[in-house]
Amino acid sequence: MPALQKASISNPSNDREHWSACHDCDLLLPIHDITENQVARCPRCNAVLYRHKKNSINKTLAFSLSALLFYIPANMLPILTLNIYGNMGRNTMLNGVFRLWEQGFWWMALLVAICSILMPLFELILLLTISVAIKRQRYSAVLPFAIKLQHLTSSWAMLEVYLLGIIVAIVKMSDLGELVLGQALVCYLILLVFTLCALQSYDRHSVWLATEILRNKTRNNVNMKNKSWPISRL
Amino acid sequence: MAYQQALSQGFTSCDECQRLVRVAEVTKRQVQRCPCCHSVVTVRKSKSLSRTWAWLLTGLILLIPANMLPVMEVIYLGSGSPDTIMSGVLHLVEAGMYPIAFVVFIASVFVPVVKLVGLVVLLVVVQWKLPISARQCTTLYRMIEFIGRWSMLDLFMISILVTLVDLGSIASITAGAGATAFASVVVATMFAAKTFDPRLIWDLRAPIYEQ
Ligand SMILES: [Zn+2]
Repeated sequence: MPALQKASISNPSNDREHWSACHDCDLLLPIHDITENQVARCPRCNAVLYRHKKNSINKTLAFSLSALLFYIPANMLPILTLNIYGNMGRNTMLNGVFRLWEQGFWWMALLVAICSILMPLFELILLLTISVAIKRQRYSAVLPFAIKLQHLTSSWAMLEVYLLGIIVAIVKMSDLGELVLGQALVCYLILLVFTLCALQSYDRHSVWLATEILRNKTRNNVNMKNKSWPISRL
Repeated sequence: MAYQQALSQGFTSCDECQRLVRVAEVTKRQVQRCPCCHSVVTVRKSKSLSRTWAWLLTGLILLIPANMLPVMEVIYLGSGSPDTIMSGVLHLVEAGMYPIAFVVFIASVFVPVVKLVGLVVLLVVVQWKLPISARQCTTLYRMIEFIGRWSMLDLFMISILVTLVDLGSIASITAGAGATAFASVVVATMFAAKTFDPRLIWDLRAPIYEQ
């Protein structure tokens, strides 16, 4: 046991690339090359360290692009229409925000706009930018910036919570008048599913590894054969 | 296998790209940056405890107006009937819509309270060095991080309802002052969860882990 322990102490300084520290409990762990659909977990706190995602970049690219196609109709067309004695109340994702703003609730309007409209859009654009850059093997200063921004947007993009909001609204209003589900509801659902798929296939950890390799390649044109494993994981 | 705590070996991981970096000695004015992503590397999230306490107290104070003031007002023929979060849930129960009432109760009442209480527990455990299972505390932290966003349900629902019922002077729905407070509670608790560093729980434990 002491020999093993000594090995685990001395190794990171020589070979830092193959060690990681658990982000939840700070345990020093060797990085194992995991195979398809495997998940590496911390033995002490069970945190997910990294997972193997097959075809990660291609899938992220495809799903984020498809999601973006449905973004505008999902936001502009009516999701729900309520007919009370001939008076039509239409809800789109955008006009809910404007209506709150008109009523003087700017703080709430801002928060709803950020979480249901702006951040989901930014997130998709960033995912697309990142996956296109890595797919084309092009490094630019925008890439690290985009990866960091995506990390930031992911906790504020709440499309899936909005779905629950729609469901509760439908139940609450169904006895008030004739409730019609709009075309945008379908667009919104497709947008939601594609966004979740894009996020599911996105692997921030290996995107960073690929970015570093791309940067080194462009900077000093070094042959990075010994670092080929992260690329193969993408 | 025996594993070591990274910090005790002079290493830490970058919060952004998870790369292992050697902790450099820096003066107060300097910062250490990650060689891979150039983010600022700190051994633990900076001023984690005081920042989390600050967001947490903000959330706790705002929770009172968020629950006392009306979040939504249905105006029918000029007279309004205000709804607080709890009365909205009770209306759904009275109407017999139990599943939806349950969902709204969980998202709007249960989640904010659980988040605030859970974070207080974590902060107390770290500050008073209480011998509570670090694994359970970490699970609690992960749960707090995961459930936080679902509190936005009420705000999204209000933004939908205000556009659906708009019959001018006959009937309309407006948001209420409570909704502003509630929105702030959601934001404050999300920041509180973000500024807390779960590694602080494990720093109280032995730096060697034998499997
Ligand atoms: Zn861990």
